[in-house]
Amino acid sequence: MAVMSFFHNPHRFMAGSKWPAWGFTILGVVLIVTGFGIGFFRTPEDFQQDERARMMFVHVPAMWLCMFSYAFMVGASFISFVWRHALADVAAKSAAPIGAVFTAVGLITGSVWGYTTWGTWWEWGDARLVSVLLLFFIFLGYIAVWEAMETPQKAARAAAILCLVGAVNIPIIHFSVEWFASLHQKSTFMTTDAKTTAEFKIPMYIAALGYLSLFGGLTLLNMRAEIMKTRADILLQRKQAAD
Amino acid sequence: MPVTVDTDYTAYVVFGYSVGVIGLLGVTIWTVLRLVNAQRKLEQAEKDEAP
Repeated sequence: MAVMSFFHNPHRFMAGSKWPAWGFTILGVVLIVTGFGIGFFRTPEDFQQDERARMMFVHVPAMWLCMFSYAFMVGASFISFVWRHALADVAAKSAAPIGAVFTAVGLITGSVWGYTTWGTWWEWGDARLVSVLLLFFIFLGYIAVWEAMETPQKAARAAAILCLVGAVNIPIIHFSVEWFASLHQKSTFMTTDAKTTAEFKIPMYIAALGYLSLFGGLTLLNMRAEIMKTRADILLQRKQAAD
Repeated sequence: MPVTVDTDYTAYVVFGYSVGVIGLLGVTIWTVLRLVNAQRKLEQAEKDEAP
């Protein structure tokens, strides 16, 4: 709560966020390049999936981060809805395009990986695939709501409601491979079973940390851009009213 | 007639990595450009407002 109160003032946020924003972005790029490099050039072929397994270093972190991005937006929308925090709407709005790109990357790479493994680019009967596609459309809908409403206040309210309603999709995505018959494999990472060796885990975690850091950095940069744009609009309106 | 199975997946893997790189690089460039434009707009507005 203390952090929330501290950042209620956009001036404080602008003063404190500049270097973390650039730092996380640069760190994210470095970690992703490292993770992709190790994954593509150094990781040995899998005994079942051969070189196709290398696709996981792009696909899996994108899927983790698209769900994380949406969960972040849900948290920000909830704070905006309950406490009317000035920066919560800005945070949710700023995270949406980044989450949408992560989802698109996850969908396309998943489709390519699926074709080489299952022999099909897409399967409408698969709950995991369809629920992630739905998440992508929710991201697009969320962005569209911000653009479509007359005032930012109305847009923020409507977008927050859409985001909170769409949150029901997140557990469906996560548990879809357990609840429904699916082409998609069950969880391999984040389990207590030793299914994955360090040769795959290390580049995976490096890439995932990179995606996370990039998400943090780009969200902060987007928030800064949004605040500057709002401030410029206010100054322009004030000038027009005075003229 | 024997069915030939394509087992060379390099092109698919390279395509997958390309999608990742283009997507992540694209959103990074878009964000930086958005920030630069907002900064310019704010500077211009502040300059116009100054007496």
